[in-house]
This record gives sequence, structure tokens and C-alpha cells, in this order.
Amino acid sequence: MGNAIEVSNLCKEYQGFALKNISFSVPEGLCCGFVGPNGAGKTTVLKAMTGMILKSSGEICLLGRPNDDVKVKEEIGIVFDQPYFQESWTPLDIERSIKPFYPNWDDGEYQKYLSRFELDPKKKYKDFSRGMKMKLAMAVHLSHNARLLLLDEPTSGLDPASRDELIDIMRDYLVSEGRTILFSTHITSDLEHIADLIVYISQGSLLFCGEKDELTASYCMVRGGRLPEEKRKFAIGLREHDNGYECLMELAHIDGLPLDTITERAAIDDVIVHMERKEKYA
Amino acid sequence: MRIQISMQSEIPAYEQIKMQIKAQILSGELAAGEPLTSIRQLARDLQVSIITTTRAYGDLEAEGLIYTVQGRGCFVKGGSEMIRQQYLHIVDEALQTAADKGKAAGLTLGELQSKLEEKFYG
Repeated sequence: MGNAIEVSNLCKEYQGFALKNISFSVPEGLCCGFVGPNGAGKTTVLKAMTGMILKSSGEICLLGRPNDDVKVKEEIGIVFDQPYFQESWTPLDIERSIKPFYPNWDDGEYQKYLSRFELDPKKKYKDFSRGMKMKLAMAVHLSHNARLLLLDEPTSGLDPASRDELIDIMRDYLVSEGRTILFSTHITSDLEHIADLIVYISQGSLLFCGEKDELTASYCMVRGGRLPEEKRKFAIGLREHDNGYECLMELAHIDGLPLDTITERAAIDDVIVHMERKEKYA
Repeated sequence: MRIQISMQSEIPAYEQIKMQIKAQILSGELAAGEPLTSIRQLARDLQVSIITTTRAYGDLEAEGLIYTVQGRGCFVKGGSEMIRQQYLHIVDEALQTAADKGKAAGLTLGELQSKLEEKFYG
């Protein structure tokens, strides 16, 4: 099984912001969650991958080809946070304008998805709710048989039911072999139930790239009365108050903490929140 | 195949999946040669990652309980030692029943043996 996504040493310099040597890969057939705080550079990475912005240096391969290859564009589906359909278009207008770009376009599939997602083919794009707009964008990319979906915060701004529906659409998509998803999100429950891998960036740098369970398995949450001085250097995102302290710690370092210390399994949110606090106050 | 996993459990999801499939194979609920739900479909159904179900099936395969046919999916294996033990147990039970019923019907051991031979070579 090859890699559907290979990003190596990606750099992009803007005034006041830079992506620094981002490298990660996603094997074909898996779902990768892309996380990091606002302004970390997630959208910049996705834009560089899709060729919407030029990279300063580095290599990006999608589906085994350089990302500027035309064949690649036919085989990927891109859904960005900001809509890119004309406001006055109906789903039928959208089909007419998009279809010529995709040799694999399937009219029947599109119809099927419109009815399954309960999208009125004659309603104007601007009149759809945010959840409907997302489903419409998904319908478009599912109808040209995209092998790779790059989704920028597909679930943000959706109510829990619409979010679940969208995640479900993603799950259905992944049932067929050889399909890959990279999606950015702030909602960790999205990750819990679908992501195989996590790519985590902060301030333009890669902090973690690997299996989701690995991210949480190597850390634990630590709470206690007073942190022993020799353990201080291992505390990540330490928060101290009059009655005790709380921090994240690598599992390897919890041996030797006082007996009454509470150590608990860390959730994805715990890891990210504490890593961010560390970044900020480091 | 029936699988229910608990998201709150301390036991990792892949372990829960593995244990439940294993129990169903050993109880005979899943028979030899029976296809298992595909790795990707199962991940979808249970709302877990594909890596989770891949790991569960990988472990079951390593333990000799299932096998993979490229492009067709995973199947319950027959003939492995654990399954053999399970069969031996079923044979024991069936023979006990045969002996009890045979006695009740007034058959001699010789008659019962020849009946078994008939079946065995039939």
C-alpha cells in the first residue's frame, strides 16, 4: 500500500508567518485528522497541497504524482471552509459547470447523492444552510469518484446532528478500498470516531504525526498537591494553583511521583491543550 | 457476526472486537469458511478507525483463527488447534448422546459401533 499523501520539507514564507519544514505522509486507504490551533498553518498546508498557493520549497506528492499534475486534480476532491460555488447557482447549475473538469463524472451518482442528502436540485446555493452546503460539496466530489479528499474544517459551524451526518458520509466514503481523507478539525470527537492518524501542527511547525492512539498512549494527565522539583522539567503545560497542580506528562516520567498523585489516561484534547500551553509559555 | 463495543471501557476497542469475534468462532456461532464483515465496513459500522479493525483482524489471523483471501476478504479458518478442540468437544457430546439413546433403544456396543462405521464410511 503506497502513500496517498507525501509532504516533505514543505516551507512557505509569508510576512510574519512561516511554515517550517513540514513533512508527513498518509498511507492510501486511511483517514487522517489535521489538528492545531487557529493560525497554526493548517489551511496554508492544504492550500499548498492543492496548488492554490505556491510553496517556497519542498515536495508534495498526491496519489503518487507531484501535486501540480493535472491527472491528480481530476482524482482529488477539495472542500474548503469558504464556499467556492456561485451564490445564485442551483445544484443542477453546479453539475453543469463542474462536470467538464472531471472525466469520471457520474450523473447518476450525483442524482443519487442529491436525493440521499435531501438537497433540492433547484434551490439556490445561497439558500442552503451551512450543513447542506457541506453535503452538496461532498456530493460533488463523491460523484467524480475522487480517490483523495482534502477537507478544510468540514464540520465547523455545524450542529451535532449535521456533524454526525457529515462524518457518516465520510465513513461511507472510506468503505471502498483505496480512498483516503485528510481533514482539518477542531472537534476532537470527530477524530475519536473516524481518524486513523493525526497530523498536529502549531505555529507553522509539525509537532506530531502518527497513529491517533500513539498520541494519547504516550502521555498521561497528572494531578497532585505539589509537584516534586525534580519532576518539574517533565511537566507539560503545567498549571499550578493554591491547592495543587495539573499537567500532562510522558508516561515514561511518571514513576517516582508521590503516591497520592492522580494519573489518568489523557484524551486527545488534554494532549493538545497542554502542548499549546507549553508552546505559549515556553 | 455481532459486535458491540464500549467506548468507555478501559479495554482498547481492537481488543474488544478481537475477543468477541474469537468467542463467536470458538462457540461455533461463526462457522469455518464463513466470511467476516470487511475491515473497512466493520470500522464504518462500529464507528472506529480502520487501523483499529485492521489490528483486530491481524491479531485473529496471527492466532490462526481467520485467514485472508486477497481481494475477497477475511474468513473463519477451519482446522486450527483451538477449533479442533472445540470439535472434539462437540464429538464427545454427540457420542454421549448416541450412547445414551442407543442404550435406551437396547442396542449392543457392537451394533452401535457398526452404525458409527456406516456413518463414518458413508
